[in-house]
Amino acid sequence: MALDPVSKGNKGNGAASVAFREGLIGEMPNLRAFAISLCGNIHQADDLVQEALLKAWTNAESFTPGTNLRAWLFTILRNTYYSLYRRRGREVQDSDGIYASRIATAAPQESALEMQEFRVALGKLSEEHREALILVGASGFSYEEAAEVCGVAVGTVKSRVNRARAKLSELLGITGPADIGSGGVSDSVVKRASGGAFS
Amino acid sequence: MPRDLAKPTKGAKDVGGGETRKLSPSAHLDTAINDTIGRRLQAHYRALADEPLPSRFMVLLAELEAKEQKNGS
Repeated sequence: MALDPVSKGNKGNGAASVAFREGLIGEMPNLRAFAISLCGNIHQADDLVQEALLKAWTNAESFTPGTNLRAWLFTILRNTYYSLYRRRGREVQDSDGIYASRIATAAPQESALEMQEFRVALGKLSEEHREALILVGASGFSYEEAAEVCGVAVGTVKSRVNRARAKLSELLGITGPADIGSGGVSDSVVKRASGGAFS
Repeated sequence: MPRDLAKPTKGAKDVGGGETRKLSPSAHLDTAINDTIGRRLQAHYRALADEPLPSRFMVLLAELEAKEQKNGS
């Protein structure tokens, strides 16, 4: 049987290959943000993204066009991390100052101190709690998609996200009305979230 | 005020908060906490994703494509 051109559709010069390439490029920032969240530092994360991109390209045939490219890429990156990178150890704090300047733009409502505290607290979560929270709360995955990326049951993801939130609020000291009213959380948050019920 | 209460909390749906009306005080509190955590999480992630990408990613893609075209045709 002759080679079916469709079977190698994600490579070469066809429309599918252009879409695949564009998709890869489009997902790079998101992949990198997830990689930094896993590794804890940008330099190791960039190696990881590089490795994942290489694998994605090499295994392009196994991606079905029209399905969720982001989930496919995240799965590759995550598997690469757990098989090759994890044992190198996670650096909780990244010394890069670039982040500090970006965070002010990304989080106009939060103070620099609040974001710094948040970042430290996030670094203290267990790996599985952190990744579940990131996938569902930031990377834009549904619980079902996150479960697929992590290779666990949907209920497991839900439970991990809930535990991650609980742990974070504990670490950040926002566990009760008093903490929200007077502590690290700005008043606007309370008013907006509660409609003034705490006043 | 009642109109405000009837509105879903902005951003709360992102972390599974949903509507805020008819919630008990403790549920209100949970929503407020989740709202705060969700907002900071997204800001944190956005700051990471907004970092300029290193050129090595595009260099890699270009190399892979060049290799493919050499082998393919």
